[in-house]
Amino acid sequence: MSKKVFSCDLKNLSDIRAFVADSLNEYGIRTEIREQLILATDEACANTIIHSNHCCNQRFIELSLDIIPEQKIAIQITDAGKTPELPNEIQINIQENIRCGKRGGMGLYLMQEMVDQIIRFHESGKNITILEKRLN
Amino acid sequence: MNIRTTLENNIVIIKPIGEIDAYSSIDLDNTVSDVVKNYEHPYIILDGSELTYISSAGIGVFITHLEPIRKKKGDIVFANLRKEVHYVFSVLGLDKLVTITENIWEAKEKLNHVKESI
Repeated sequence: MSKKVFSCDLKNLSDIRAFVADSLNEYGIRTEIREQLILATDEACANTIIHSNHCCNQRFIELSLDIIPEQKIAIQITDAGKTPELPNEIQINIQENIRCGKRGGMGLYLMQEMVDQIIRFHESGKNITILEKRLN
Repeated sequence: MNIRTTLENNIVIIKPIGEIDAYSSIDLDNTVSDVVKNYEHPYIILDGSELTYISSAGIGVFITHLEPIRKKKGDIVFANLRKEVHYVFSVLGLDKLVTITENIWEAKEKLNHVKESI
């Protein structure tokens, strides 16, 4: 398992992506899956930094990657910020987004499309998001 | 991420170099906002040849400005998109709603048609 802590600063998103890429490269995960997981993690962390922690760099998110070769990858994002109220499933109408100049929902939609399962729960004052991707 | 901006025959070519995420999208937003504000008819080519990554925040910049650009009888054409960036456009369905070309030359042709139609 790989684990790393980042402060809640959007500047850290590039380091977060590099951490995920390096961890997945160690296991020889193929490019397509690696890129999908990098995007899903980036979106999840950006949401957590902005909406749960208001970009306060005195707060932290912990990222951990657990890989069961040829079975699944689980990326866990843990923070102690405000618990977000998020829908289980999201649909977007990009045409309507363009008409209204609305950006919202696209990050959550991309996360949903990039992984097989998103698990969210709140435990001991912490928000936990797990992004799961099957490898078989 | 760096952004290189050039002007050719009243067409602004914006070339982001690197990755666009929720942090770096602010610079892109400022660049596109300036073009929309300063041009009567904003004709923009987004040259994606050196854009290696885009998240929803980067896509959000285009979503926000697309309607104002078109209201001013301008348009934005996306050229030279790398596979990984094109993939994000297609997952969101944006590839069906904007013009994407293989190269800059083709993008200029498309924008010249828009100019002629005014």
